[in-house]
Amino acid sequence: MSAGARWGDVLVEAIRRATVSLSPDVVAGLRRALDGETSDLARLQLETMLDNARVACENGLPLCQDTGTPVFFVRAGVGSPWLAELPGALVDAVRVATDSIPLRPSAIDPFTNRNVGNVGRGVPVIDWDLVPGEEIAITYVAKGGGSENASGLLLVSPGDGTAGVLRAVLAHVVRVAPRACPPVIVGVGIGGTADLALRLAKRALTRPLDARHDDPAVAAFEADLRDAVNRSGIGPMGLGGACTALAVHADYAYRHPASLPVGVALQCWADRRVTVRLPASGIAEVVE
Amino acid sequence: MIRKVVLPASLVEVASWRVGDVLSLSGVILTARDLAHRRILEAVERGQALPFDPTGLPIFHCGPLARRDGVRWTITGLGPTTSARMESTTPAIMARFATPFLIGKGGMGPATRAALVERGAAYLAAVGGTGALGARAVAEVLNVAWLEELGMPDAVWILRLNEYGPLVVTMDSQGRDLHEEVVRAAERVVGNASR
Repeated sequence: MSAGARWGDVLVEAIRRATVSLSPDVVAGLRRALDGETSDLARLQLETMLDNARVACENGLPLCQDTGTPVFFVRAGVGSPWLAELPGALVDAVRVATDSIPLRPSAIDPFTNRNVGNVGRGVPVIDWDLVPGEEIAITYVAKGGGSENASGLLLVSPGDGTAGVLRAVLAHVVRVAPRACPPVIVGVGIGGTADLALRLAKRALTRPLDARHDDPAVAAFEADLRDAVNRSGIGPMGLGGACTALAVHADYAYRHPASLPVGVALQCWADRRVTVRLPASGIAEVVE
Repeated sequence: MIRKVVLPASLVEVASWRVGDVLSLSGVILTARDLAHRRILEAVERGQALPFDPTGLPIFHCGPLARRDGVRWTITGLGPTTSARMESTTPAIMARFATPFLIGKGGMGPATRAALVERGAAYLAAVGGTGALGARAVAEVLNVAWLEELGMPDAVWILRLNEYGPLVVTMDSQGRDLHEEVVRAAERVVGNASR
C-alpha cells in the first residue's frame, strides 16, 4: 500500500470522527452555556444536546441526521508532493465515508431535484489556500443546511465604520439565529470583495471555539458582537435564554474606498469539524 | 417534567397542550419536508391516490438518515429540520388530512398559527442536531414512500416511535407562539441597543 492510500484512509476516518463526535472545545462551550442558563427550557435544550453528543459518540451514530454538505478547507503547501492527487482523494474520501458511516445523501441537482449522494457538481466544496512549504492542513466541516440558510452578505456603507458593521451583523444574526440551531458559532468576514468577505467568514468558522483573532481590535469586535448577540435573549434553539452564540470569529481584508462588504456565516451548535495534517512524508494524522 | 404521550392523542388532549409543556411521544408519525408536502398536494390536485395514508398522523419535519440491511431499514439519524420551509403548504395539508399536530424546529408563520387555532392543533419543537437520540427512539420503520423519486431525506417515512423527546410545545391551540415572542423581545433589545 502506498503512502497515498494510507492518507486517503485518514481522510475517511477524519470525516467519521467529525460526524459522530463533537469537538471537545464545543462540548466545553455547551457546558459553560448550561452553567449560565436559568430558564428551564434553555437548560433542557442544552442538556439534550450534551446527552446527544454522548450517545452519538458511544454508539458511533452521527450527531445530526443532516450530515451536512461536505466542505474541505485546505491550506496547501505548494511544495507538497501530494498536491496533484489531493482533489481526487478528497472526493473519494467523501464517497467512501458516505457508504461506510453512512452519511445522508444530501447533494441535490437544483434543476431536477435528483439526490445523487454527497458527490456532485461543486460538491464536496473545496476551499483552497495556497501557502509556502511542503505540508498540507485539511479541515473538514459538515455544514448543515439550517445554518447555511442563515448566511448573509451585508453591504455596509463605509462611512458607518465598524460600529455600522456590528449593528448590521447583529440585526442579521438576531433575525436568522432561531432557525440555525443556536447556540451558534458566528463567522464574520469584513472587507475585501463580496465573495472574499463570505469566504473569510466561512474560514473563520474553522477556528477553535476559544481562539480569538491576533489583532486586538478584531478580538474586541468579536467579544462585543458575541455579547450583543447573547443579550438578545434568543437562547438555545430560539426558545429564550442567555446563550445564543457560543463564539464569534471575525477576520478581515482591505476594502475598496467605495465598499465595505461583510460576509456572515453561521454554524449550528453541532459544529462538526476536524483537521488532518498531511506532511510531505505522506504519514497523515488527525490533529483535532 | 416530561409528559409521556401515547399516540393517537385525542383532539381534546392536543387542544389542552400549552406553550412550555414538555412531552415525549410513543406511536406512529410520518416525516415530510417541503418536497413531500408539494408532492402530496400535487397528488390531491390531480385526484391521484397516495402510496400511504396521512390521515390523522402527526407530521414530523424531518429528513432521516437510514441504513438498509437487506429488506430492513434502520434509522441512524432522526431529528427536526427547519419548519418555516413548510409554511406555505401546511394549512392545506392539515385541513385535508386532519393533521393533529406538527413536530419540527424554529416554529412556523402566521398561516400555520391560524390553522393550529382553528383546528385545536399544536406545534412541538424538537431539539435540533440531536439525531443520535432520535434514532434510538425509533421502534419500527413501517413504510417509506417516494424514496426513489425524492431521495432519502425528502421521502416520506412512516415510523413508530418510542418515547421520542423531549419535545416542547411552542405553538398551541390558544394562538400562543413562543418563537414569535422570543424574536419580538430580541428585536426590542437590539433596536434599543442601536438607538
